[in-house]
Amino acid sequence: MKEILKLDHIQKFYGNEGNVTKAIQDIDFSVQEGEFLGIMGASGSGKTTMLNCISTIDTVSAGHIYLDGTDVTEIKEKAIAKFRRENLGFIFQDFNLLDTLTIRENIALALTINHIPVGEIEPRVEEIAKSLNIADILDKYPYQVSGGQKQRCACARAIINHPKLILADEPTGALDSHSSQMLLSTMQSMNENLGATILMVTHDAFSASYANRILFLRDGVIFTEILKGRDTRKVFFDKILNVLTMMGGGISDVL
Amino acid sequence: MNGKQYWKDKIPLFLINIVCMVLLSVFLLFVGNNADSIAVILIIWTMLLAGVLTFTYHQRKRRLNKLVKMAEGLEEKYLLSEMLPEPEHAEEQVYFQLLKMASKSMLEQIGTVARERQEYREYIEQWIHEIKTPITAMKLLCENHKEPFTREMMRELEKTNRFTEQALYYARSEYTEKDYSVQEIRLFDVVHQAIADNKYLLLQNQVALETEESELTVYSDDKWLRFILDQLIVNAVKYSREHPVLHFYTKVQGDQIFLFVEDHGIGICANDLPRIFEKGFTGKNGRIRQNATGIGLYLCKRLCDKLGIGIAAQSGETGTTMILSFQINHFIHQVQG
Amino acid sequence: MNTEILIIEDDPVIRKELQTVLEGNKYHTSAIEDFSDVTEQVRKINPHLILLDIKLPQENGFTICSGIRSFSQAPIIFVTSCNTDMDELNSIMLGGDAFITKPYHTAILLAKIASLLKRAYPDTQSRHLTYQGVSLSLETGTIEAEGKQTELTKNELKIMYYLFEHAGTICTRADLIEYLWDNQLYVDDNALSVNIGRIREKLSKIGVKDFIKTKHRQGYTL
Repeated sequence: MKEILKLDHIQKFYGNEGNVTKAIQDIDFSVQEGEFLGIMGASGSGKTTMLNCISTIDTVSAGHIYLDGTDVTEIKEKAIAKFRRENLGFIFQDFNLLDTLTIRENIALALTINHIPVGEIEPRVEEIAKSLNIADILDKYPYQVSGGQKQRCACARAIINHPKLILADEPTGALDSHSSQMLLSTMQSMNENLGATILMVTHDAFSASYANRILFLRDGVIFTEILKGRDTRKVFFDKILNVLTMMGGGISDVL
Repeated sequence: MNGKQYWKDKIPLFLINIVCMVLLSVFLLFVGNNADSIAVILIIWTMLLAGVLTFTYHQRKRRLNKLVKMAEGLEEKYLLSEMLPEPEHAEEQVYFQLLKMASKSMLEQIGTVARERQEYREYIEQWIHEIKTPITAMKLLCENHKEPFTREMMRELEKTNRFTEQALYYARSEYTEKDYSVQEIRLFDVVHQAIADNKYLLLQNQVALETEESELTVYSDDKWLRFILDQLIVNAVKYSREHPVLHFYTKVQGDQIFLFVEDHGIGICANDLPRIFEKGFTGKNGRIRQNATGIGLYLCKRLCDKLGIGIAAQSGETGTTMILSFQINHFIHQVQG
Repeated sequence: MNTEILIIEDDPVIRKELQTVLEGNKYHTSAIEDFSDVTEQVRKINPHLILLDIKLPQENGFTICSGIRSFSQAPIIFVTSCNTDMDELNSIMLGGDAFITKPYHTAILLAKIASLLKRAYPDTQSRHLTYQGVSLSLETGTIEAEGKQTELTKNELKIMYYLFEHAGTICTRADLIEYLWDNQLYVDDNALSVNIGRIREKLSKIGVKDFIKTKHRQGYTL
């Protein structure tokens, strides 16, 4: 089992004119290839900051982040964008599809900016669309499809380049419950059938229950961790709720 | 920013400008311009140059002073690189990168050290927790088979327990977070518990105990206070004479409650008295008498400081009196009615 | 009353010695040795009072306490080496009645047990001790024989209580002094002799002679 991501005691401070705040106190964990990891925590717990640091959009104040062995904290600024393109896939809350391109073109974009030969692009798009069940809307425009379908296109775009790690930031945030469910099953199938390693930040326990491991962040540190193991999704969902209640209540005894 | 240095740095620039001016003047003269127009050109050039340089100087100085002020206002100065805005000038950008690299490496180092310390401290707490089981077992075994030799063992067990508690409170006194809880406690309840903690020590040394009971209560942490009193009792016994006496009494004065722990021992000499709360200080009598680690009173002072209890010592040839002072919290009393 | 105290403690030495202490103080004891289903065993034994450790091999003391509280209001004393304030708070919140840290003073433990039992089962405590026709009343602090009675001071009462409880056996001076100290009466050797002397005087005034016998070099006995 390969270690795809390793966060080595990272710290992150934010500062402006007068004061400095500690966004991340000390986070240390690793993600194996093929895992579907969920990160939960209240706002201010540091989860978005952490995601930004992993996705190289932001830099850490201390510590190292290793993506498949490469220390992203040491990559020079000029090389960062290329690294990001080649190794990471993103699923955002607000889809981020380009309205002037068709779905097909949106997905293909991920390949074209990586200089994949034109001949290869077409078949790969078809293939991924089929496995994610969006083959029928490939030639439509984003405004013509539902939120759920848009998100699945974003998934297709994220995975088509076989990135080492897919980062999802509140992917179900803008979706209704039915679409959320479809999206999460899609992500689950990406993980199980296509072997994608996914790291999802969410505040919603239902979404989190689709993952197979959850880290709970509080005050810039990992508060606790639970594994799905052989639990059904319903049982896992209850476990997640228990942890959230305990975290909210402030009792230090967990499990 | 050092103004003199700034202008000194610009000297090459001035020289080049002067050389160019001279060359231009010579050339213009040569191609037939008169001295007046050349003078105008030179004057305007000089004025522009001086103006731009002065303006830039002041602007930079203002900006850099602002940065210095930011740094001075920041308590954790090692986090400076997180706070500074990204510089625009190429050279400054490089220095900024260097600063960031240095800070990052230092933060990582501090993080490693802090973690190691934390792990060690957790190990110690765990160890202390575990050792209490065999101490309890031994204590019970001795109590159930009372004989002269088990009484001696009880004394040694008391000593063992004291050192264990000392280690625990040493670790806890270093926490920056508060690790105590404040409740209303009856002072003499804690006094009696502390006496019980040292029962065999006091009995063996034939210490005469005088306690003037009072119903006075204070707001504090009973466990920490008990530990403090344990230390004071042990000290009193250590520095006692042939017929030791230990006297506990209280007094209320103004808005403070005082608890006196008085012994009639050999006292602390005047030179040593101001230093007894220093870490590792053993004093004249300590060195002569027994092995003193010098930690006991140091810990007491630290814990008292954390709890807001005053601790002081009075001493003479007839003995020492340790005084603990507690603030009476009128507000709480009023609220309770 | 045959008071049943249940000990839930995983260290075997402490367990055995606790039982010895309690039985020496006329309590009947039982102890849990199999920690797999403690709550069920408690239900079967149905003790008057429970001594409960927190760090146990399978379930922890807090969970067990909640479990017990669902069917029993018997006083529960937590005895543990944990001494953080969080633990103390938890123990009270989950239905415990007292919290004592290891290593404990057996005197304090016994006093706590006595006071909790008195509170929980009020009518069953004996307040009179009798031996060979002489009767000691703990409530009034008097000693009486053949209709005549005399009052005792706090020290004297405690000394007589100890002698009565150990009637027939020899109580060494050290035992007596330690017992008094456990009750916050800090007498020394001299004071003990003086107190015994005074008690004897008072006893002879009510016509009791040779009640307290001195065993040379050993101690006193009734």
